[in-house]
Amino acid sequence: MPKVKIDGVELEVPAGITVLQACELAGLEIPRFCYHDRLSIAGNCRMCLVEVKPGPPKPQASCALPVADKQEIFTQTPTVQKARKGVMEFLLINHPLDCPICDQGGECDLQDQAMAYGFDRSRYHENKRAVPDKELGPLVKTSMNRCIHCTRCIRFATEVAGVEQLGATGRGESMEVTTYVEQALATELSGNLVDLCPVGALTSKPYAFEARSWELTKTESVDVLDALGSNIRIDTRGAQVMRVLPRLNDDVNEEWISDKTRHAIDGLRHQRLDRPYVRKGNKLVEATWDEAFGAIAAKLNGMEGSKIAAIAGDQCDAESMIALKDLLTALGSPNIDCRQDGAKLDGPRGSYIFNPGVRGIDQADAILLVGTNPRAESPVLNARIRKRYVHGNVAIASIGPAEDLTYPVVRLGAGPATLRDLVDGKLDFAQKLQGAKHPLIIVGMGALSREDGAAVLAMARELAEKLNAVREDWNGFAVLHTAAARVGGLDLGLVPGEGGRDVAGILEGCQKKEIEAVFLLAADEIDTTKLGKAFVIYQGHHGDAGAHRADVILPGAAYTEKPGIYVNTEGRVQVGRRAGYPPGDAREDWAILRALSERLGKTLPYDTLHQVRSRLVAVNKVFAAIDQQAPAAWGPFGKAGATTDVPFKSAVANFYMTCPISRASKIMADCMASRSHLMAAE
Amino acid sequence: MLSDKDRIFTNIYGVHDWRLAGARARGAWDNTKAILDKGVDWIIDEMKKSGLRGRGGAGFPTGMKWSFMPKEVKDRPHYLVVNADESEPGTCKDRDIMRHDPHLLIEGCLVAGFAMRAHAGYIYVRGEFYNEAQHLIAAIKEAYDAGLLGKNACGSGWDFDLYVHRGAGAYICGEETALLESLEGKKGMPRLKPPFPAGAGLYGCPTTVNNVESIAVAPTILRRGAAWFAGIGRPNNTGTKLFCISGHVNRPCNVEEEMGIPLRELIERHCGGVRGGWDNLLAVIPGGASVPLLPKSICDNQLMDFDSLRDQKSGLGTAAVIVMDKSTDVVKAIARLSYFYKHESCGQCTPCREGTGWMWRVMERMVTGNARIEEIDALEDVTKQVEGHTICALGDAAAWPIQGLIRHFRPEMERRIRARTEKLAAE
Amino acid sequence: MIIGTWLFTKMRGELVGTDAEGNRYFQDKRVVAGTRRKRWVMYNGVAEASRVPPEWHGWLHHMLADPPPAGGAPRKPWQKDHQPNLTGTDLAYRPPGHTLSTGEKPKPPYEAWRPG
Repeated sequence: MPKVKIDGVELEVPAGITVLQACELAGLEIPRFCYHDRLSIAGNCRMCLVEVKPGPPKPQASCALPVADKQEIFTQTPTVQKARKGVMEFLLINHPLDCPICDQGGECDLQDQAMAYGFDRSRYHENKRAVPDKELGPLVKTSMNRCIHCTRCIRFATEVAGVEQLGATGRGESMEVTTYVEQALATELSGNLVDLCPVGALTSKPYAFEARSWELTKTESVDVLDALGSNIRIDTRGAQVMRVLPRLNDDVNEEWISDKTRHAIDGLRHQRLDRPYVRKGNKLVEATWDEAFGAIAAKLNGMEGSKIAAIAGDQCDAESMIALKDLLTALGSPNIDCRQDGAKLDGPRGSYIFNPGVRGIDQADAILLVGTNPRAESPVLNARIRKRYVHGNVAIASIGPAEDLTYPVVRLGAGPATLRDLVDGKLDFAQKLQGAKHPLIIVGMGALSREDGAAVLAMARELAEKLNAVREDWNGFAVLHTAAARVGGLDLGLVPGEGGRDVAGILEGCQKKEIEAVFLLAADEIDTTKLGKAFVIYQGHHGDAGAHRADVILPGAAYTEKPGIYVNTEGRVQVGRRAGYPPGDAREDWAILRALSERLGKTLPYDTLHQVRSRLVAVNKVFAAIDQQAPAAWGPFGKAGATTDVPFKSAVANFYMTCPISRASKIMADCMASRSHLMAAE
Repeated sequence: MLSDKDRIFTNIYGVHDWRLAGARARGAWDNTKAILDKGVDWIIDEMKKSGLRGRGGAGFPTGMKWSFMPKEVKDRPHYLVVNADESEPGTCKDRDIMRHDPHLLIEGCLVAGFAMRAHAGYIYVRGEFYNEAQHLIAAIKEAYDAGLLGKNACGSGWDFDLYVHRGAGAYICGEETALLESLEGKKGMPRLKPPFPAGAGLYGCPTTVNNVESIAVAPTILRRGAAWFAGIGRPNNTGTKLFCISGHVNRPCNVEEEMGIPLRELIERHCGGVRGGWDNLLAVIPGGASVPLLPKSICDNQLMDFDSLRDQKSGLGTAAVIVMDKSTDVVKAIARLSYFYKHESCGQCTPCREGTGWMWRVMERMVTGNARIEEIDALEDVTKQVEGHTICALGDAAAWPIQGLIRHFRPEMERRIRARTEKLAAE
Repeated sequence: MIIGTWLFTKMRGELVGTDAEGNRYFQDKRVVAGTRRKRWVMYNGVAEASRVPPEWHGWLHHMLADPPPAGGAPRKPWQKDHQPNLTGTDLAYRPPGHTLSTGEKPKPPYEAWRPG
């Protein structure tokens, strides 16, 4: 480990890091614009200049200079200060002084650093440069006059998002960041450009002129729009969610989030259920909580348990799911399911989580995708695979839909037969997998939520075991979910009990009138026309498919409006926090179920959130280990059997609309229109 | 004064045949195998002993540069790249070498490539040099046909291929790392150093980038011995050099001369003197557009080599001597250079991108005197803010001419400002 | 009116002027070289600082050298009359949505679903 002296303080730092990182380790702040931890080094803003001995007699860009043993680094000398001041002045001569009308105001790197390192007046008397604004799609607003050419956006687009559409044209002063052919960026990660831009050149279009950063209340929470469980910060003003920003978590989402996570929040303002409804005659009529509970009690009291069923939705928190399960158990019903898409998953924990964890992707040296399009199902995870690809020495192949995943993928085939061949070692890629130290098999819902899902799952297990991918130090079997609630539901055992029915069985039962009452806990992804004449209780936050069919509607809370525990696809238990209150008369979901249970005479034994959470831990110990990803139990699972020739499809046909929230979002609709426009142009 | 027998570029004026036969008659390709047979270490050692300093402007010792290449070829091949992107205003020496003596360059490429264990060399020719590139290509073909290049070049057992690549005419592509980027097919923007090209250059492989003239003189040095070359000129500034004299002289020309020749002798002997006599001299830019100018008082006794010009806070650069007589509007001349740098800045790093435009605009006002006296200090301060803070040397090159102007012609600038103020006051 | 201020005004005060509300403005009789002359106001009624109109406020705080002319400062047609601070009175401003405000309630920040 090299020893360096920073401003007279000796410090031992890890080899191979840059001078800037070393200074950070020493607790010194080095101003910078172009440098970003997760992007390649450009070294072009020249703000991070420091003096280094031994070295040339001029200041050096610390972001690009590797540390060396016995180096002396000076960050506060007059030369350095003068250099910073100079660079600051240059950046400002062509930067418009429009901070008061700039959305970045208050959270602008240039503003902050001008305060800290700049000078309070200008010596520049010439005209400022004017640059035409660019069109980058429905999410990113541009104001290119403000651009300081740090090229972070270009590097993000090329390196992380994998779309080589952004670049710089022109030279010198006339240099412009542009797409050249004016078009929206074909990436699901474009919102991150806004976070990366150190000035107000790229700002959020939907959030334009909505709020100032200092007016917002910041709540750290977890995303539920895909199964990755990205760590987010929800910014609210009053009751309104103004925006969602990523939080740093190297184990999950690094510091990126998908456009859906970031921008579907306007869906939280539309189509909200804010009061209970009861169907009278053919019409849903507004009701009080008391009337709604009364209607349910009248129907359910005395009904045989086996005639009652419940389906939990894709975005439910663990608290409401355990309350639902406990209620159904109390009512004597085994008919409960959390797998709306019919995925054949109910084995040991190792069979339904992303065992290696997202971090495991960085280690993998051969990756096989089975029936999944990670780009649509979890763009941030896809970016992680791309990161692995960029790092080099990895073979990636796919069995399933042929999609552009932003990195080259060998497409082995489309259906279960190819997987069979691979298990039997008939394909060339089998050798690559066999030779890999850390093989990774990612199985998507597209492969498991089919009739022969159990057989595919069994094959995938067979392959993993054959490759010795499941061992003490590495478990390369990974299930990529599409529903944020799924792993939590499986952990809590929201699967049919003894003699119980799964989703398909429930729907069949409804039509045969063997099921007379169905409780939908925010479950909208089922075919509601198949519910027959059953009495449907819908509890949820959006007027989506379920609410239209319901006989009683109980208004619940969306993920930003309740504290809740979610388990992401890798089995990591994460805590979401409340950023606002549910609209109108709507309430937290577990509390509704608790109140309902009392009316039904089966009072659930918990009155506080704390008690519910204790119950969670009592049901499954994993809920005690917050924010941890641990090796999971492995055992036989899946059911060997015949497979069909139907090719695997991705479980997510349309990235922008996957849940009630995103379907209610206008911005997601705009994104979809823009994307289909792009596709048409191609 | 260089005697004719010591000239290396014997056909610089193109009076003889530039093809292989003519070049051979002048001594090129004479037993090149013997040079290569003496081995890599000997060649590098001779180059070091000759004291040859890079002719591209920075004056870095060529032998030392060659010795930075890894001692053995590992998994990555080595490359030789010749910088023929000669775009420095006032400079036209490489152009004449490629036009009239291309075989000197090609032979030099083989020797240099051999010395740095490279099997491939690229000559990056400036886009505007169409005819020069054609000559070069024709000459390379001749060399291939004669077995001087390609497999077992000159019978030495060393395989060496040479390619000509034409640029698109950007000045910045003459910077070695920007040249490499351009050669790779990317936008010509300088790379960060370290890593230096000798470690990771073209396509990430060890590469040495040399100027045309540095490469072209190498075979002659090796043939005639380092001692001969080192005996010409002054210590640490040895050998011969092509000077390109332009501007207000009676006969502008390219001429090969001894390093350290007095400026006055150079102009008066080869160019027929300054227009209107030596006393009509106003200033001289001694090394191409990017070095500070020198007023007549300094020019009287100035020696033309790296060190003596550096002592006068100027530089030899590419030895492109631009002579300005008293009819010159010196402020306007430097303003025009500022415009050139503003136009050619690549836009990558902040000080140069923003600074060159700023400097040019202020200079334009200085031409008419539309400024305040304090702005001269501000301008000088801006040049200092650019200098040394950029990725490549273009920022320095843009700053130096203005610094030179302020250093030597500040009274003239102040006079214009005062004249304008007085004129406005009178109206 | 505090006795001390009244006494001080009697002893040292020099009346400079009176505003529309009848507040009287004084300055110190004595002129001491190197110091500013003290300026103060005797309210006509409640001692409430916001009752001082802007032109007299300026003078009181030594922002203006001279007091406003006898008939009050020249006024523009668009200038409104000075109003003291109404906080705590019935006339106080209440933003829309405030519990005590009358008139139209602001719309909720969300759009509710209604069965079709």
